[in-house]
Amino acid sequence: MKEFNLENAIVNWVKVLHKQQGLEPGFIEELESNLRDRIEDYLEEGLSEQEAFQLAGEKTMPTPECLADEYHKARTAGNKTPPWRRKPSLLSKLPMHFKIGIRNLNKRRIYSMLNVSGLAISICASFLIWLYVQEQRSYDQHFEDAERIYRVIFDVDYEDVKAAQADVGQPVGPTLKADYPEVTEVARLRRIGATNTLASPDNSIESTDFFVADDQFFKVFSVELSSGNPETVLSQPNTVVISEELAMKFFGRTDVVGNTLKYSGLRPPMDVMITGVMTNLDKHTHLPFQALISYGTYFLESDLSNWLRKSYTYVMLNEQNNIESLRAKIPDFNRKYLDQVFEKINARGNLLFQPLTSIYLDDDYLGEPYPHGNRGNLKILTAVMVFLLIMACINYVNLATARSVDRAVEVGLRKTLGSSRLSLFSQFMSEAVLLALFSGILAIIISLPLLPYYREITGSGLDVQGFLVLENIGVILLVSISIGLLSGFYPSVYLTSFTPKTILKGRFSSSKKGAALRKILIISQYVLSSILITWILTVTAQIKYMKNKEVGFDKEGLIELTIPDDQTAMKNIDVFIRRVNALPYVRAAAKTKEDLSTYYPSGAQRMEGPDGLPVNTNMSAISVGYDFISAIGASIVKGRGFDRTVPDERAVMINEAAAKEYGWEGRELEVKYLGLDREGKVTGKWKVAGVVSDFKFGESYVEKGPMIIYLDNRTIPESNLLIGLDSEHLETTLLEIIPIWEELFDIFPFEIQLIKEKLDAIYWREQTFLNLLTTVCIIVVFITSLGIIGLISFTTEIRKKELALRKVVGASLKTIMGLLSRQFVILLIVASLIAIPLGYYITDQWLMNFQLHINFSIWPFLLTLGCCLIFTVLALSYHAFQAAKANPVEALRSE
Amino acid sequence: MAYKTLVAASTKPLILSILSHGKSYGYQIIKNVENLSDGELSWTDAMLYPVLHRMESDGLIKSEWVIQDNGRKRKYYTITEKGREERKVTRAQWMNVNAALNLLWGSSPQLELG
Repeated sequence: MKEFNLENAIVNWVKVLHKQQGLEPGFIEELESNLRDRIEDYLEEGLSEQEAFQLAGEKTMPTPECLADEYHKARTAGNKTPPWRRKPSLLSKLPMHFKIGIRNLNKRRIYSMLNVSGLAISICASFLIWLYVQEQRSYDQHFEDAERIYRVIFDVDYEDVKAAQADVGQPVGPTLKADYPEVTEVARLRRIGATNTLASPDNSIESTDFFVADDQFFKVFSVELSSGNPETVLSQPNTVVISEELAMKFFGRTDVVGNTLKYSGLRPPMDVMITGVMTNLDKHTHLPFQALISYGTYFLESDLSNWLRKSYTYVMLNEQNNIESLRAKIPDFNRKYLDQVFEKINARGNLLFQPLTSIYLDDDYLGEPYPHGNRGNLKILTAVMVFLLIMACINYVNLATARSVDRAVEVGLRKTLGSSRLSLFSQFMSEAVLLALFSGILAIIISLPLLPYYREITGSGLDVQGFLVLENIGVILLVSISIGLLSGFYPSVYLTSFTPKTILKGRFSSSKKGAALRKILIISQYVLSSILITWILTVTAQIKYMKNKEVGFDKEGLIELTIPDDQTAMKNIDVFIRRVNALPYVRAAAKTKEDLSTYYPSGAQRMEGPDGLPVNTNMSAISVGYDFISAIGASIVKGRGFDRTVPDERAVMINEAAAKEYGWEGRELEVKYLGLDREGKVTGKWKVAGVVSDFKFGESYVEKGPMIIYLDNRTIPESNLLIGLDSEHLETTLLEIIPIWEELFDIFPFEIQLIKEKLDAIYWREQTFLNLLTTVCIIVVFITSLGIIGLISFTTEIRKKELALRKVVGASLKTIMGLLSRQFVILLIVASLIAIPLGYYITDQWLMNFQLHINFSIWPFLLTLGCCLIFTVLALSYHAFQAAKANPVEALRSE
Repeated sequence: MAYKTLVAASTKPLILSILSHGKSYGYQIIKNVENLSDGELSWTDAMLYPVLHRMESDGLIKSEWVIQDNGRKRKYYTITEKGREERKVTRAQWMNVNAALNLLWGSSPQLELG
């Protein structure tokens, strides 16, 4: 046993007191003096040193904490719990953590600003994206019982070509309702022609938003009527229900029931009476109708039993909503009704049910009333959103660990003074959360001026008031806090792992592990940015390629007119064509059922080769009127075109691709087309009158394949009339055509469609995608730049002394620049080495969607690399210049 | 042993009264109180020193460190003018309580009861 030493015992006793919070050195000194007095007394009484010390100690101080309590009580009159008695909860420490946090942010203003603005922009962009995705997903959800409403679509299998159609025959809906108990309500509606016009005496509105709808419409779709009875408003012919918005446009008021409007579409104009006004129409629907004209206005009784006269048909199921049981019964329905209908046109039909709420994001089917949203894009956007947030976190982690040198001393000191790792950890976490919260608030602020652009890009009606609701603000702040917690975690663990000994000895330097991580993070951002930029360049080039691709006909000089659905008007069509053909600069006018902006998939055709043997071919087929080939500006390579002067012309034409594909070159005119009946027996042989140059409708990125052309010079209502003319004299020629039209079809408006515009519109999906990519790219590049600038300024900061020393011994600006740039240039090169193959893969995958596409080229990458390089060097040179310009004494004298 | 509340209430008057006779230090005060009360009032150090500090900061007493001949330091307290005033007030109060109790414990206190 060690011998008892009184002095040592007293020193230790004092030490214990020093550890107790709330005991000031002055107090302790006095207590020590008291202890010594007591010991002296006990010694005089004859106790041993050890006994005296023990007794005196007990008397003087029960426990240090009790002692501190007494001091606290005496000082505060006992109303407050002393701090050392309080539970050490994070909450009680937060105010202090935040205080220190703000101090630290303030101390490193530039870093904080970079960090906060980067985070804020990511949060802002992600939130706006989230809002957009939410909005797109919300389409049609507002209808009551939306989950029980389905659209019935036709899946038509036509000569091995499958095509789903958005509209189905008139009797489908009522038959479903009559035959199957699952179906409780059915509604049909349809748009007549491309656009219709409604007119009041002083106002005329042409729109795509006017539909004819049957009287059951409001049973399926819960639309509020501010006046009119939903049961009867659409039951009589020549009645219309309009929206309040439309009523305001026409009459400037909403109580307009009983007024009449003039309705003109493909029929001669007629009066329709307003029987109801719809209110509170939600724009988030795949059917943004503004006016519903009663079914009887357009359809005759006989039309309603015609399986090939089509309408959009919606069914509402009963409460059980058992769609599967209904689907199981459809094969039976097909056998009973559809098979005999489709047999007539050599096709097979099947009914499908599409849930109302998914229509807007599903693919477009043939004959959709409006273009749809795109689920794929939403997925990309959601991915982007997540990615942006991750990048924001990465940048935070990056900047925070980069500051480790800066904070190391602080950590060392705090640990020396007795701070636990946990309490330091919570300090750093609080800082991260605080910073993220600032960013969240900033994100809300910067969202406000961005709202108009958001509205423009998305077509949404979101305004400031709609944006600044508690829910949105709550979500933003919550997300910010989560980001703070997430991104604060690693730096907090990392920063609190330092041992005070190494730091305070001054041997600490930013660890290699941390530096490697930072480099990886920066490289990944460089990689992402350059892939995005490359992708954008590729998409732009591909769109340009598709739009400008030669398609075998004259896109520029072609206009399209719709043939009116009116007997007298139709009689005049041939006169019209003759008179237009006589105009200078007009190549030809021709009737056709085909839509030049739609791609015709090939189907099976039976032919007879020059050797007299039958050949099964696979060619796309189009039916056109006389002069079609010259109207579109293609040429007849061999033989002749369809000839008006030949009575009962029984001939077809093929294109060069067909002749080449089936080896008929040179003897094309000996080939025959075999007309078959239902059993497959040959009913007639049609000669090939001529061979035309290859051309391609629809998407230009598909190869021009073999094609067969039939003659169909009937005048069909609502089909197209094409006029080919010299594009250089487009306007003057149009001015000559208009009087002819007006003379022959005075009541029908002269509406033309430029084929070039129609074709360009095919690529709207790609165009939207491009816009999306561009927006994303701008944000990503911005955040990357912030990250890089942050890192550069940090690097120069920690090398300040080194650079100053170098300057003292004679380094030039150039040397300093070189020194600083080397690291970043290496990072850039590494990033490019990763980005090129990855970018190649991604853009190549995307280009695979197009049969004909531009080739992958390296120059977008080089361009991107160049931009990154220039940016980095510019950012660097600013700092290098600052460093080089600074007086070395400033940097060196601090130690 | 006296009641805890009584101890608490009497601390300040006792300290002031002791110091009104001259300067003293903590341990000495404790010993004096013990002697005066025949060991009935045994103050702990943990109680006294915080009270002394409080009284000092209230301006009732003041302190100074004095170095002893043996080199040790002691903190001596003296009463201030304000402390003397305070002592007078508390003295009157205690006298009142004392007088009332004496009367009650006497042979025939004048009381209205029932």
